[in-house]
Amino acid sequence: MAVQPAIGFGRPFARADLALTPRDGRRYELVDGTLIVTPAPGRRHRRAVGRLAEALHAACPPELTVVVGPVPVGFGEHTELRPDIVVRSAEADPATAPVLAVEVMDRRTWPFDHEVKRAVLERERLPGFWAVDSELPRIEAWEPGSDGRYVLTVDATGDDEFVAVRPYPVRLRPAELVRDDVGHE
Amino acid sequence: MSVAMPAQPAIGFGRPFTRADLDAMPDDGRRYELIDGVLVVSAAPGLRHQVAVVELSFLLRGACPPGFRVLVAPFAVVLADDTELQPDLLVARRTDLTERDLPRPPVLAVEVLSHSTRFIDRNVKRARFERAGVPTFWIVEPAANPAQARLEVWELTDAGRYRLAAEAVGEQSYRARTPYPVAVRPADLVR
Repeated sequence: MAVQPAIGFGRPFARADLALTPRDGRRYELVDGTLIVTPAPGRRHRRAVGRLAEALHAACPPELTVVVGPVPVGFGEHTELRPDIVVRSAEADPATAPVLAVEVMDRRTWPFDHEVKRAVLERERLPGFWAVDSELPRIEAWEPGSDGRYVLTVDATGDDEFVAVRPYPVRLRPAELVRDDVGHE
Repeated sequence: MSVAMPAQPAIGFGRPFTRADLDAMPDDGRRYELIDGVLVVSAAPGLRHQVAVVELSFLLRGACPPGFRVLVAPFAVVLADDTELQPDLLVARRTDLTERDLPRPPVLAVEVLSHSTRFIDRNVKRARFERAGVPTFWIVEPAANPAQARLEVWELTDAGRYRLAAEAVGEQSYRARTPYPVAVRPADLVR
């Protein structure tokens, strides 16, 4: 196969390298210079992202803003995640870390994605992380406890009500994220 | 980037990777692994990492009973069609090995940490080896100062979860019983 000029033989990847990744629908993220490439999400994923972003937007106070991604969120030169949705200060420089990162995952990549994202965001002291299983469906909210480790603060499945307090009050049922469009709009 | 440029031309737009895709990855010194269809590309290891790999493989090889083999990366451990890992070191039963790969869990997998892989090794690979039922997983922390080098031994419980079964630092000696008797002193791995 045609091997392209290698990016610095064997060295850890830097965030600048991500500009060279192909537009093939996959998600390219970096953790400490290790590259992680996840498969392109499907329709169910996009629908769940859309529905959740609507709910977040509808409840969003003026000082914050909801951005639908994948949104690059960098930590240093060698770590960059691309959450599906972020909530950040409306005023601050877009390069500042958000107050909430949301990842919508499918069943297949859940164990991997959940573990990596939660651990990186915990380490980087992000004030909030929501993990969404778009198949079950389920929404988990994580935030730092007194020792800085993430604690699961809300965990709702199906028709249970998900009631979040931070970054601002939001209520919704996970089932609404996946309901067919028919009869919904 | 030729790396992770699984896309020149694109390998099946956006679909999960399979083991077959790994053959198309460039030979650029990096390690290409697949975990549940997610591609993980890590940097080439540095000197301290490689010294620890060689020292530990020497110890493991010296104590190895006839039924087992000690291998160092790159050698593929196939845990599923969409999961292929290359631990820094592994011990497998000879009868489990093929010429090309290890198509079932090893009896011991070892990861030697480096700056860019520490996080993935601890948080992702350990979890995947646990799920695959690899009975023993070792983590070696090859600190610059031998007194701070560390070995962590994770063993599967009856419930199928890893628990930290032992830990040795610097000159402390860990006497393994599984997969077979061998003594490891972390400081010796980095001198």
